[in-house]
Amino acid sequence: MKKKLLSVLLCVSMLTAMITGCGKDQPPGNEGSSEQSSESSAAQEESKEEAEESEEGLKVEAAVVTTSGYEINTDLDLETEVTLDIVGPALFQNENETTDLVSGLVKPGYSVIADRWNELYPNVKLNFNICPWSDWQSSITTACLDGNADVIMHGATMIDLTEDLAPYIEADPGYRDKIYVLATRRTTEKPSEWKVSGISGYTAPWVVWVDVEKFKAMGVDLPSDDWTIEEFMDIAQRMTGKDPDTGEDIWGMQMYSSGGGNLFFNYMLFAYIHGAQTFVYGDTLADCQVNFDSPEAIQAFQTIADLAQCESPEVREGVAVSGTLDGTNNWAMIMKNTPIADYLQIKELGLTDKYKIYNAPVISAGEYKGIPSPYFGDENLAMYKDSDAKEWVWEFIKFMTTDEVATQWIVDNLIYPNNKEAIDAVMEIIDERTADVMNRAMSTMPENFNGSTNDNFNNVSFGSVTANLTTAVDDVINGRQTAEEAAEFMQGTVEEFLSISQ
Amino acid sequence: MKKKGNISKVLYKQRHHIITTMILAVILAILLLPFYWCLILSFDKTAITDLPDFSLVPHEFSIQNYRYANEMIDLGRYYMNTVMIAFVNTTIAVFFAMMCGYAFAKGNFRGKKFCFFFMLAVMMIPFESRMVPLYLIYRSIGMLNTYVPLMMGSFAYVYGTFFARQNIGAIPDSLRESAKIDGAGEWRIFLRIILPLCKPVISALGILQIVANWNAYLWPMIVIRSKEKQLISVGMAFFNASESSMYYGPRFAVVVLSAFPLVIMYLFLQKYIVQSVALSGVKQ
Amino acid sequence: MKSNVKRWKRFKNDMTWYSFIIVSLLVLLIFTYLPTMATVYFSFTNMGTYGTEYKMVGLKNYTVLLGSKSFLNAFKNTILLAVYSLVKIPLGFLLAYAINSLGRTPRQTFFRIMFYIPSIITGVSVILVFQYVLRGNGGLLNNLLSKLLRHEVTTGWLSDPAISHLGVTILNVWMEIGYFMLMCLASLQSIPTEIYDAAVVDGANGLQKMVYITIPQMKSCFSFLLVTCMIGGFARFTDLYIIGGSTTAGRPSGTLQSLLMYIYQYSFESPQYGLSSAGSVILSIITLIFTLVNVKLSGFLKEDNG
Repeated sequence: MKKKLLSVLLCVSMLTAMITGCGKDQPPGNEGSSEQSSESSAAQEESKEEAEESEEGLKVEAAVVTTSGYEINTDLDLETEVTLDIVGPALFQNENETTDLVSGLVKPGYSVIADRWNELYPNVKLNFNICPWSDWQSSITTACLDGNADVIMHGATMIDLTEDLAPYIEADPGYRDKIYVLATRRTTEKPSEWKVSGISGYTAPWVVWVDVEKFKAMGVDLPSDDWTIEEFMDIAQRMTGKDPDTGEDIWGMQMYSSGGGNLFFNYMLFAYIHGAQTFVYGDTLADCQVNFDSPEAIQAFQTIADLAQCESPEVREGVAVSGTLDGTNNWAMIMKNTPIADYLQIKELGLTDKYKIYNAPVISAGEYKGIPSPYFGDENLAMYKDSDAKEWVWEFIKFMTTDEVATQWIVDNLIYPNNKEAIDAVMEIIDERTADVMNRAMSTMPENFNGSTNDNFNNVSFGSVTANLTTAVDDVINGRQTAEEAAEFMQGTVEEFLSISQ
Repeated sequence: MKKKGNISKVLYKQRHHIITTMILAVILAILLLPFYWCLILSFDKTAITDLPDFSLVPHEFSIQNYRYANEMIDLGRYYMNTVMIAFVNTTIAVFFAMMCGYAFAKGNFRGKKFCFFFMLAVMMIPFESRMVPLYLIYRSIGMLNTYVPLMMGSFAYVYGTFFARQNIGAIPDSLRESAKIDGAGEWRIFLRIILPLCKPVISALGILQIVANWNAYLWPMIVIRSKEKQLISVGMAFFNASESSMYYGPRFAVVVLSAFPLVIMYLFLQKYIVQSVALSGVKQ
Repeated sequence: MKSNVKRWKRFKNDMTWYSFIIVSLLVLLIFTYLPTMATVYFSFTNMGTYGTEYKMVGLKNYTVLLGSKSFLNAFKNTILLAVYSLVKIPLGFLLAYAINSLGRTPRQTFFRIMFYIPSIITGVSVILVFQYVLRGNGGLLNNLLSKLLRHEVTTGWLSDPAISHLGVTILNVWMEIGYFMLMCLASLQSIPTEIYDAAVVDGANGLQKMVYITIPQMKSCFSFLLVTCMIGGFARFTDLYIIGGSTTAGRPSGTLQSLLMYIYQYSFESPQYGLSSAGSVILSIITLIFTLVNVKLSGFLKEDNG
């Protein structure tokens, strides 16, 4: 009886499987164009670009990448069979091309990369062991323990597992000039020094989109290109109110990653603006100074608190917040870091007159005074320190960042290649203003800046800073902690951690 | 006089039943509302970037969300793998739980108390905390990227053992005694008498196991490398991490697709489940 | 001679019974106790990322954890949430009582089947659905309440730290009430009817019957549920993790950070494996203590030696 029952069940399940599985043979997942973060929701929350309403199968045209970049490296052993294991999340989430449900924009899958690579190096097989964003750090940790890892996708932050790429870059003259940024990290052993822990596959600078129509309706002048934080906040406040024509609520601001796992970056963005130096690095962890309680840091929290007053309650609560530029927004300004995809979307929707892109407000004090507040998200490629095919890993990283087809593939995924020449090509699919804004953001970036270890944030060596800063920023946004309390809380938790690690 | 009293009693009872039924129906409706809502939205073409207002039927009926979800993740293969694993694991887990349960309920051997505690104590050790060392054990025996690590745990289903022990304990000893007189050994008694009597327990544990296997995420994600071998829960995580997961319709369609086989299976097994607990398990 | 035969017989008997459990015991030994031993060992080291160099640091990880505010906060959350989740027992009982009072009718069967369905559908994605149901602004529950109460309700069930414990308890009840109902129902239906008949003769009313007969008769059912519910409560992770936007921060305001989330964070996200191992050991010890106390108090496992 039991057997019969179970076999019936099995049949039913099989049947279900067949019925539902009769579609294409396609791998799971999708491009997770998240930024440098520690959380899976990065991909969920921050990557909803795409246009609405357009024909099926639309492909981004133009933008033909021409790079002088990559040539077959004949110094390598082109005979012996090698398998490169690529582990981790990011970039290669889909094997085949995917079509966006709403915009119809098609993005290529990683088979393009595999094909191109094997054209160049038939003896080196790429083995894509991609994991979902959820729990990706556990996946990388275990994959490396297993020994079956060569390239670690988005692994730069896991500094204990990565190889320092500096010697490889040195041995490869000309490479450094071809790409924009390195995924450098400060190490725990010697925080004063940099380690090239990986190379960004693409970059995503932060920008502000402004709803021009709402500005007109409210009678507020459009901001200047070099806006200061005072202007930024003044506009956010003046833009919060009721639309005199329609009577609908307008909210002046939607901050970065509202509701997402990357809420903590807001602190960093404003801390730079106020010239704060939250982390002062020394030769050992004990020599490092942490200044979450400095006046500038408190000011950064205060800015978040004030701007939160200009956010809608939904955005402050942060569950399932949409940041789509589709004309239905109730915000007047939004902080995002997906300019290419956003631009293509508004172009598709014919909304290029409604939205205008701006750089982040400029830094008002300190070493970097006058440049837009720096931040870019990325997805990087790192080398596992115990890989047995290091020369091939480096070749692959170089290939991904300089090869014409690989760079084209990144552009086709509507993201911003970490390749200076390719950026010229990207400019062909977007308008001049968007191009200028991105160009300015990337070219003013401080030397060695990256989103993981910098003057105002560090998720590598200081324990649970990420989780605690998420709590602090969320609390400040929702008025549960004042700026001073948040600063004190952060200072306390980091000091507690430092006392642990002595 | 007496008759009248009876009638009023019946009437009272009927009214009582109607009120109880109504209250239960309301509670049930509240409990199931989110699932119903999810089902409706999964068929709603308008549930894309904005969540439409609640309605009893889709605003614009379409199966587009399902088609899209199916394109995004390789549901067919994931279903097959998951069904296979869930089936094998459940069979093993329940059978071994019954064996242990029998030994602990009816057995009389040295070290029984210690062994029982040895098993129960495992329930206090959360899986996440021993995951990495466990991973290394499988690595050292070369079993990664196979289904072995997913199956091994089934050979010691502690909660099931506990549950089975309670149930089997309630089976009268007289059955065993008479079988013994006929010369049957413990294994024979177990296979021929105990197991057939325990169908309800088996199905109750079965459903618990199937649900647990169906939803297992972290461990399969870590030990299974090849996408071809991956399970439905990991497939869903791929989907949830993609930008399409911001589209409400497909997201809800994936929820429905992942839960649907379980509900079907439950409706098949449900009649045994209550019996099982009823048979004794945790009775007075 | 005789005693030898007796000893042999006893040995044979033992072996027969061990043949039933030996596989499970071995599997537990190798795949649970062995890795747990490793965890205990690493809890005395300063290992960072798993697999990297380490040295012994004695009890330091333990003293650090027990002196750490965030650990104690996670500790407090875990215990509170586990205790709150016990509300499923009385609720499940009341539900079962009501269903049982319908008699053996198709209606009873219907409710029995339907109430269990939420316990079947428990995957990760369902929690995402519940986030939309329980959110403060425009959530399904608040919309419903707003209509009923005729004024705007914007309670952030999962986003207001003052009530987030209540919110996740509602979620937990929602998803697991069916199981508790079923267990109680089965236990209820196994109470011999003669006991009630005797009570009716004595003139007991419905409430008295429930308090003086039904509840005491179900003692072992309740203690079973109590023990398993507490153990499950201590190991709470997935739902809280997702509600916090897939972070271990325990949003809102760290009120939903459970011990397991704390441990997980230090295992992988900001790797301090020694520290997280110590956390695991502490969690296991607490669970063990609670369980033993529960078992002792409820007299569970005592009576039957079958």
